[in-house]
Amino acid sequence: MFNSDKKPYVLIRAILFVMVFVLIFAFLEALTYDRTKYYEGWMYVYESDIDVLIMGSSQADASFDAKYITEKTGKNTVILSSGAQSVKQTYFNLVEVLKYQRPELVVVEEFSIVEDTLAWMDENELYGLAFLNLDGMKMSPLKLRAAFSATKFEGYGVFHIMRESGKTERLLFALKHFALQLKRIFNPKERVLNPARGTVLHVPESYATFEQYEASLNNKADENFQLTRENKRYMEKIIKLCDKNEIKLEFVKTPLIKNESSISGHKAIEKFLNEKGYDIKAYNLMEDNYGDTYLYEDFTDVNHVSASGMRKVSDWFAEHINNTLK
Amino acid sequence: MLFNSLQYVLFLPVVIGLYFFLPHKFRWMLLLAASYFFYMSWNASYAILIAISTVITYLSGILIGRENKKLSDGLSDEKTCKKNKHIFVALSFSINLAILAFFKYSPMAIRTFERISAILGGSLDLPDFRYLLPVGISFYTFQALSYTMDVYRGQIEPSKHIGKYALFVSFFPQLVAGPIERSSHLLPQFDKVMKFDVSRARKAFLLILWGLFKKVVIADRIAPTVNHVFSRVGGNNGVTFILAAFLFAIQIYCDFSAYTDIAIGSANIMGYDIMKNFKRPYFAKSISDFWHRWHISLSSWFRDYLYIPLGGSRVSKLRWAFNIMVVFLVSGLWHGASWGFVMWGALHGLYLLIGRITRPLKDRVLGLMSINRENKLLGFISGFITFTLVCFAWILFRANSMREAMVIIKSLFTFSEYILSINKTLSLMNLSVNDFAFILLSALLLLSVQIVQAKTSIREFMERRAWPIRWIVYLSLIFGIILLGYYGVGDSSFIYFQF
Repeated sequence: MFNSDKKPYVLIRAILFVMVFVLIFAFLEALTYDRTKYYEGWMYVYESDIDVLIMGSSQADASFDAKYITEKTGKNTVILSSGAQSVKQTYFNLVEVLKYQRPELVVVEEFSIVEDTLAWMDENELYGLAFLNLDGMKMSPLKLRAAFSATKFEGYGVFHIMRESGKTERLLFALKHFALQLKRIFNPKERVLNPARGTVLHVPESYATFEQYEASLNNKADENFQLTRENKRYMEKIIKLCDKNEIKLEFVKTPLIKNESSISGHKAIEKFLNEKGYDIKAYNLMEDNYGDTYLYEDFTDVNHVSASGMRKVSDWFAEHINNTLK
Repeated sequence: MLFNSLQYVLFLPVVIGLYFFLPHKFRWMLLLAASYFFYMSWNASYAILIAISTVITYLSGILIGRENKKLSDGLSDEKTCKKNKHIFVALSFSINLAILAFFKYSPMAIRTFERISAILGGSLDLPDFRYLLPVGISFYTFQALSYTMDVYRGQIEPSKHIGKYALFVSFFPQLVAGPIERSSHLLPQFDKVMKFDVSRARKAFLLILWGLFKKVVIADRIAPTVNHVFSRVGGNNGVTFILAAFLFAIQIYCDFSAYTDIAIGSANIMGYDIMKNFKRPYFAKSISDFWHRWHISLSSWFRDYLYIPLGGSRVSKLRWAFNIMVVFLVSGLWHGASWGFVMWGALHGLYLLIGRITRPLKDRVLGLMSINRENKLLGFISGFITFTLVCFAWILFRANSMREAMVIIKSLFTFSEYILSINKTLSLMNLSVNDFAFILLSALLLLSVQIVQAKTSIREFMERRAWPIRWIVYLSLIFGIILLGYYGVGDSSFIYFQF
């Protein structure tokens, strides 16, 4: 096969080359690891330290203030969510979390179940957002499974150094981050709980406009709305996983400005969950424009609450925790 | 399966490994299977079209070969032989071109007929053929047709081995975007026993890396900006269009030459030599020179199988001008079913005619001014003018319609206050200052590499260096591709796939 008499020498060198490549790759991957605002908090939580885990899409991190809830309840609350997170990703994230944690309560937010988020994301978002959902995972077969199930698999999203979203900024940030990593390695005290706990305060920078509100009124309820088979399948998996690990599972609907299509989605998920013996806690009853008690200022847009809206939801949720968890 | 996909990163080493593992007599089978697998990863059903093209051209080759043999054995007279050969060539051409026309040109023909009908006051409503264009159909059809012509001319013996011939038509490295190979060059290589050569593999690997760098780091990073400007014709101005045309010139070169580099490199590792397709085209000093450097396999195809049969330059000046225009119009049409491509071809034809007609005058002026043709400044000016003309023509090539192309061309000649603000211009192009600087640096790198290439072969130069230096270069390129590459955003397929 070879026309060279240096065959073993060539093979050793080739293997060595691949090893050098892998080492540099791993180093750069760690260097450019973008601990996003969503994950920064929960990544550094000590093992077996979570009491309440809230999972879902951006609506989850917009609606709950984990630090505030922890203070009010004494239950260590952490949010693991990211923009447009699908229920599939929620499942894979939960499997990952259960490797290190044993929460008393897992809360799954509704939007990620009802919406087929990957269907409406454009490609930029797909790679920018969908793969952020994998960031909490260490490289493992589970992560690859999650990546395969996330999108039409191109593999890029698994590796931070290949991910396009904000890449230039990340590359520039990499060196600064590298210094931070070194500091953490040499000073273990740096590995403290992050006060943000995966929560991003949704300050009311851009209130929902009346145009958005009026447009949302035109969305008619779809009586034939069906949850996708995939979403149902992964919901069942989540239920089974929590049952198996004897973890209390709850579902919540976070506030939205009244929107007929979201009502139909809510009804569908409610029906599905009732059949499975679960209930869903709706934090927006949608009986008037903003629900029962929300003000216009409580929203940043039609889908997300602002800091004041977050405080309201967190208060009610903390009260619920105090009443139900001992 | 794109060359710039992870699938190909896995596919190629597996094929190469198996190729050198298998005995020679089974290798063509492996490559044929790999080639069909490669093609079918886009649309499995269209493999049938390559199979049809293969069978038709193979049979026509056999039949033409028989006629040649009959003539040489004295079993047939020249007139009958020629007549029969004409029939076989005509059959091969008409069936292949009919398939090509049906899939590629029927939508354009239907649209044109409907428009003409509307202009004449009618309302012609023809059936709408919306077939997915088979990837690379123009490339493999032309490659197969060149075989028919070569056998017809007696330049090669017809292939007796349908398997190897099928491999010639479908050889995966150059199947979907060329270079359009000649049977006399590629077919005999399938009979050679190839051994793995470390030095050759290293050089090929470097070529593949450079191709990938040009594609994912340069071309794909430019693409969103170009797409943005050309899809918002109303919201842009002369300055942004000039910049976009310049960027498109870089994008299309990096995109297409990258494909060629990866194709050549992939084939080279297995020992196959594929013809060059580019020779630093933007260094051309005239349009005629440009066509000797750009898409060489296609321009030489048109030269050999269209221009020369039409009479080439050994005819009257008028006829020669006609021949040139025919070749360039067909070349434009080959690129796609749109009037923009046809006009792009026509413009290049026109450039060439004007260049030839004005050559005596230019020579006289240079003589009067005692300027040597080898003068460097003159070379630079000629190169700049040629590049500008090529960029201008790219507008017709890239615009989404002829109407939009006309709007863009009109706006090139209107003054815009944006010329005074680079920030405003970049924001209109949806391009950040960082990305713009990055693109300029990439263009500079490309330019530097091409300047060095003019003097020496970089791959040969690298081959003579010690292994640590080679490793640094390989790893820098690999990590350049990984870190600076543009992944997963927008369409990352090669531009020439659509042809």
